[in-house]
Amino acid sequence: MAGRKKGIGQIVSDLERQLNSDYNALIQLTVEGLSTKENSPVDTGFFASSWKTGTQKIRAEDKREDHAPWSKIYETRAPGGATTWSSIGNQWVHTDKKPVGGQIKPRFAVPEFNFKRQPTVYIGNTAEYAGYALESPKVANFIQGEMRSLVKQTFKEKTPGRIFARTGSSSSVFGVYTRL
Amino acid sequence: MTLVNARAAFEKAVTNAVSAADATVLMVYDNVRYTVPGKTKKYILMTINFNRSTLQNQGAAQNYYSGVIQCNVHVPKSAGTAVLSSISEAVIDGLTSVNASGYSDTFNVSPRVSDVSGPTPLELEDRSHFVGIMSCQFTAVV
Repeated sequence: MAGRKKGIGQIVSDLERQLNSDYNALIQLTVEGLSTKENSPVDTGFFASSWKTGTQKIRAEDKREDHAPWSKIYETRAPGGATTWSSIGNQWVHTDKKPVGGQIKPRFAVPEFNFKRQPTVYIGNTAEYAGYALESPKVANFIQGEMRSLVKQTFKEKTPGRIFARTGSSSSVFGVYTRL
Repeated sequence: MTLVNARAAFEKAVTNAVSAADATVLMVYDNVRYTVPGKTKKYILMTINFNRSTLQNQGAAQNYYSGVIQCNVHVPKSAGTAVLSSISEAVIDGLTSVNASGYSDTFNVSPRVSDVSGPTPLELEDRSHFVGIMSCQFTAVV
């Protein structure tokens, strides 16, 4: 059985196709990795669900209150629990309000990128309160720890283009990105 | 006890550098019970996460620890960001001190750190403190 023959002239296109495939696989794996409770702090799940990729830096301006199902989470109270009488509204209110029904449900699909046309891809979080979440070491641990081995595993030869993952401030468009 | 020693090497390096720069800064470590200091206190929350513990070389396995260190510097807003900067500088000095040729390796773990990211400043509206976040990878070999 002879193998399929390919002309030497196809080596460039084959290589580019392979690199592009690896490039997109890495971006996809990165977002999937960040969208887990192991690598993102989770309370309602909105932060972990709000990782986004793009060719422009990602702005952190989405409010949880504006996006279902996370907008309703704090309105749902756990059954039982401590209550106290509130003179405001003259009613019993729950003092141990905890999120119920928190979930990680990625809000953004990861688009296909081409490493030649889009050599720079940013991965950032759109949750307005991302700054609070970044106090947790989980994100840095993933980006500086697991990500580097992920890059090595994904690319066998050399890394085309540049990929950045956000580790810094949420309030500014000029947040800190780590080059991987 | 090498895992403990690896952690101790980095904690001691940072603690020494910070206390030399500003003795009023409290150190809070993630692996022991702690209470978050008050609104007027300057403090550093130091977290060490291990990602790897061994290298499976031919022959015997080698203890090779690697992971990520994160230091969150908290400074009361009334103190201003200048204090945040000076404390952050001390943390960076402490982290990188383990790479210096003259470093005294009292824990016998050959600690090393790579590039330090940050300090990334966070001004969170409903907090009493400014926060500066620094992180870096580390290795320790026994």
